[in-house]
Amino acid sequence: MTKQELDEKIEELEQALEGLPPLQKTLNESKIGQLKMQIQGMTLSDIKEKLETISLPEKNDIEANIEAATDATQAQNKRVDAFNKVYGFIKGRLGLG
Amino acid sequence: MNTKTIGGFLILLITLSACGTPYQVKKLSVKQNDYLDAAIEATAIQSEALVLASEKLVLQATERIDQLAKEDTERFSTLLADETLSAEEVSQALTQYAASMETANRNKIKLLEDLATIREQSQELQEYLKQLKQVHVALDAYIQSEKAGEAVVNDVLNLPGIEALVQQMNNRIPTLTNGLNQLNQTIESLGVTND
Repeated sequence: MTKQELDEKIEELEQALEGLPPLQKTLNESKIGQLKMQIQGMTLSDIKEKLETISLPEKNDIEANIEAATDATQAQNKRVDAFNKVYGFIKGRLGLG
Repeated sequence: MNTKTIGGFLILLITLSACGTPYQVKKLSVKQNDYLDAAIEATAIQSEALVLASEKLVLQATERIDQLAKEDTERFSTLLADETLSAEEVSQALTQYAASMETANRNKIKLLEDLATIREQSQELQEYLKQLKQVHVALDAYIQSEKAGEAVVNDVLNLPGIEALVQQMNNRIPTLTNGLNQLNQTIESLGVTND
């Protein structure tokens, strides 16, 4: 049911209340008023529900993968540094420098 | 040092110079940081606009609920002024009035809760993009990291980098193929001495 259809139904209900005794009329008008309040309360429901359908990967998983990759890169750099040192040493021994 | 050793040395240099990440890939990787920054900024603006629009809607809906509650209060005030109502009818009216005020409050709270959810989801999306950038920063660190490999070249040959090495090799290889005398000269120019 669209909002417009809902408004039309409410209007029909309001018209049907005409002619009722004052107590019954007031009680029912109040119920219709509450229905209108609920409709107002649903103003953001569609936007909220749409946003809630967004499914993102687990934050912790991403962080763990970033950390693992960073660690591996640093380890790789250290290996290259170590290689440089050893190579420099061998180079020195061979008199290449 | 014999020619075989020199040959091995040259193969090592050529291998080192061929190992690096292509310049275009490094450039794209750096550019990707900019592209992600642009996406983060665009999403931030879009989120801000969505939150602002939602806030306005909440304000309007809250005003309408307050107006409906006010109308109900007036309605029941008029009804309860009627002295012909029985005690039971008064009680029935008061119960219904209390329910109406409760509905008004509940729906105003619901609006604020939905707004909070929209804010949180928008924030989460922004955080996700920032994290995506962190992923790329980590990848970029590796893509750029053959600088460490270049350190081998710097350390061993005192050359400014792979590019200089390639250039120097290009200059020297033809010379090396031109005979022993020229080879010896090149060896000397490289700073390599025979033991």
